[in-house]
Amino acid sequence: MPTTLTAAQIVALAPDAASATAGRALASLHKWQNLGQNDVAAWGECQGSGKAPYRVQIDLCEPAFRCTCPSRKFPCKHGIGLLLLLAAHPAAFTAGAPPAWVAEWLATRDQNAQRRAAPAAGAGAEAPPVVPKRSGLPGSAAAREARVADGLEELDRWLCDLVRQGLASLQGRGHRFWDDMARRMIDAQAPGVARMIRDLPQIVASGEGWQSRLLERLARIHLLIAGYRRRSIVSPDVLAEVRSRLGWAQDQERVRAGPAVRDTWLALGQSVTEEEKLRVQRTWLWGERTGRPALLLSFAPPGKSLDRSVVVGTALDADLAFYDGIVPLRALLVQRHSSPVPIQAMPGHATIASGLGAWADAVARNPWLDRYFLSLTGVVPLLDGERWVVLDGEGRSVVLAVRPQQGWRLRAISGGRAIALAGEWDGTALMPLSAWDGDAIVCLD
Amino acid sequence: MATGPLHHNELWETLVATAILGTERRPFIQLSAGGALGAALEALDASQGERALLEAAALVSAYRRAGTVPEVCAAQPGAPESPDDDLPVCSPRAVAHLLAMLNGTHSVVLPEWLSALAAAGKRAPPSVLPEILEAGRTRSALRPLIRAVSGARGRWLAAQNPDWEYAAGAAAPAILADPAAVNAVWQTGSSAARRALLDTMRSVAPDSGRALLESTWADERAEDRVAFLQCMETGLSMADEPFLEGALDNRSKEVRTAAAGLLARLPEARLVHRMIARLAPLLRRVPPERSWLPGLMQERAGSIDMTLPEMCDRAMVRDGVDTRESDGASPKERAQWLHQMLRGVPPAHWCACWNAAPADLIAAAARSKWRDTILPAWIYAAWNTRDADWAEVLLRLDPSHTELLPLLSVERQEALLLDLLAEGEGLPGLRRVTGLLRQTRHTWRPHFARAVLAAVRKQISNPLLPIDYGVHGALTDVALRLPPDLLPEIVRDWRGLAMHEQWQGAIDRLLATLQFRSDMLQALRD
Repeated sequence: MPTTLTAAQIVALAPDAASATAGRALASLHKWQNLGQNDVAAWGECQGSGKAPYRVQIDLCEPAFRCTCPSRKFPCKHGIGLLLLLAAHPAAFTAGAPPAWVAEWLATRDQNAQRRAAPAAGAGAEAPPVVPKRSGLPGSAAAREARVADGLEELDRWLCDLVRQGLASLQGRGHRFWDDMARRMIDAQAPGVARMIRDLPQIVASGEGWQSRLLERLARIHLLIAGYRRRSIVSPDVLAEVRSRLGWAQDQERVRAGPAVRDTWLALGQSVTEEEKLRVQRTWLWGERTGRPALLLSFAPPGKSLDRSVVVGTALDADLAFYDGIVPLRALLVQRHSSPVPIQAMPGHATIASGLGAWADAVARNPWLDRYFLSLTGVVPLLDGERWVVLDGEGRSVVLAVRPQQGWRLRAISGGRAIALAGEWDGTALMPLSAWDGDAIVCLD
Repeated sequence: MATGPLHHNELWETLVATAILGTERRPFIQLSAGGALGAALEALDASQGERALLEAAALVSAYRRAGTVPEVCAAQPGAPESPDDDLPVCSPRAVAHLLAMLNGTHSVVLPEWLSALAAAGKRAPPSVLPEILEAGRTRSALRPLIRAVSGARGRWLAAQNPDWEYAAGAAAPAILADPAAVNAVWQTGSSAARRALLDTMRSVAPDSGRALLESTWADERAEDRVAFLQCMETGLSMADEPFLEGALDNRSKEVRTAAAGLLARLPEARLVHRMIARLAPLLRRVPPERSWLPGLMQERAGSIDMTLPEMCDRAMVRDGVDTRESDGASPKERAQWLHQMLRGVPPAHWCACWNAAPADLIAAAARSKWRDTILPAWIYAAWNTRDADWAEVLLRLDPSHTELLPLLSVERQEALLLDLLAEGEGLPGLRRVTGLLRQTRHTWRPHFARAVLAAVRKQISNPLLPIDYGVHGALTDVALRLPPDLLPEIVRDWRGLAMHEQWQGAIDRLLATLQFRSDMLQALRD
């Protein structure tokens, strides 16, 4: 099976820059022997420094890697090299039955997958357990609720102090001031709020108009506290939203067991950001029939790779299960019904007003929403003074949050004509993630 | 105390102003607004000032965020749309190769990718144009190639970014049909755009190009004049001679030197005749002694003798002879005058003058006690007049003058290198030609590639030889010149050859580059 990944996507699988470079160097036919492939896997032998060549294999469905080299990196350079080679020279891989060492591994992977799938399917048939993971530790859930409640009361007093004394004095505060409160929220087991507080010093340092932006953030935190105080009376959706924002993780197995939404999901954009040493990948999908966005998240600590199994520019018929929330966005890919196919056109809003209408609808229901997927089908990117904007057929515009080179790329793709582009809207600017060049999606990284 | 109904902007500004000062100094006041927002604001408990402020801020900011109205843009789409391109774009796989090179993998292969793309009659897709144009900003050698593959879209885009002006424009021969457009660029364009225009005109209609330059010559800045004279190199002919002769009266020494260099390429130029007239009484060929022993003929090629000029007059200075003192100068200074005059005479003149082949004259000069005055002048003159016959003999004498190699046709380059390689018997020969090998710019023909690789293998497989870092380093360039079709053969020949670790690394990189080029050229054919 030839891989659908491009060289850049394969290189992005590498856990670090050194592995990426070494992997590229190994993607040369003369380094390899006994290259082979079948419908689900590819394999080959690579001469390393040892006597026996390393045996390298890739399960192409995910992709997953295995190699006999002693490296502790995952995937190792040999895995990256083999996959790059497959992308560049599919013909060099003999199609046929895998050798025993590949077949064994694939068989164990199959068994594991079935074992993982079984309890999920069972849970779907019966009533889902409410908090399955915590059931073994009685009292711990309640203890956390109490700690969070106490922490939030302290935070609210702190917020009130800030506005009583006035925001003007905050510019002189060092990082300690904010860090202390963030750490107290970690201790109070509300890591979501801790993150919101850690973002505040950047706002204070963000230049003209920072007081307005800061007040907005403080008000949003206050609103979260108010929401948690009313946890016994708010609707289940609002409660789920508040608890996720505070930092409660929703149990994945429970989400997976919830109702599935089957659709042809178009992968329209992907962004990777660094948050406290963790790489966070956001993959935005658009449901062809349901007309709703969905967000797949993947997290990778240093040395681990992100999940690249959904490729931007492809459409997949699949079941998604959404996390609970006021405007459910985050989802898990539960089951694929067919292999991904290239998308034929970019769906989206014909005008900026219509796109912002969808945002208004979502943010009116969920005041904590900080980013939303926005796809526009008829806009011209152009440089307006120092900033890049897109202009629609009605003469309306939004600002793009882009590096100059990305702005020029959009301009080049457009040729001055209206194009389709998609990205993340944060309430003030659109960060474009992809554009349609007439034939295919172009990712803007 | 309540205020009258406020617009949401005023509401928000009031809240921000209160928060900046702090409710301690500026107590929170109940706000009133119309509609649902007003009702929600009125429901707040104003007695708890700070909390009410935060809640009002939460309400109003959510209201404003949800109500974001896109601004009416003052900027209009502005520039006209890009004209359509006729050429097809290259395949996604070819783009992947390009992006790899732009990100630093095999980036030395980029010129080959660009020229192969142009040769395939294709263009780069719009989405990569900014990266390509940016590459040309810092690597000016790539610019002609970039212009060839960026198409109408590339010219349209480059015209909007001052950094990419070199690719913006006007260079298409089509513009020449439109005198008004030519005039507009020449009168108001940037230096780069005017140079590009003059370059194009010189390659298509050299006389009109010169006429255009003459029309504004008196008003140009000295540095522009020098740059424009460089453009005159294209399509240079005797028709340019009167203009260039006139340029010798220019005040700027750089302009005079550039004009003299161009005139020295025209055998019929007055400047060349004046130089010949000055040199005729000073230079004398000492004829070879006749020998009855045929084998010694070469040893007795004769010599060249010269008399140093007495003075350097103003006419000589005008013709480009550089001097510090006009008379009473040291013999060294006077030899320098002679050297400079020799640079101004096409070397073919001496063949005609003394009825001798270049090889005889070069051998004679090499034997002369004035060797260091004559040979460097002839090397320059051979290069300046693009004289391949002289260049080849000079290279045989001293292969270090690699700048002469491009004067030879590809066939002659390979033949010469094969000779030099054979003369030195393996390693010494290889080391001698390393510089020249790196100077080749064409894809080697198979028999030549095989000969070079055989010499490299011979050197590498001898464990007694120390690593020659000149050869080691040259392998990076060798990888760019080998014909990719030879890859399977090369892999076969090198497999299992025992060698030092450092050689192994260099050979691995060579094979990887060759593989990349092979894939890349294949993708450009698709």
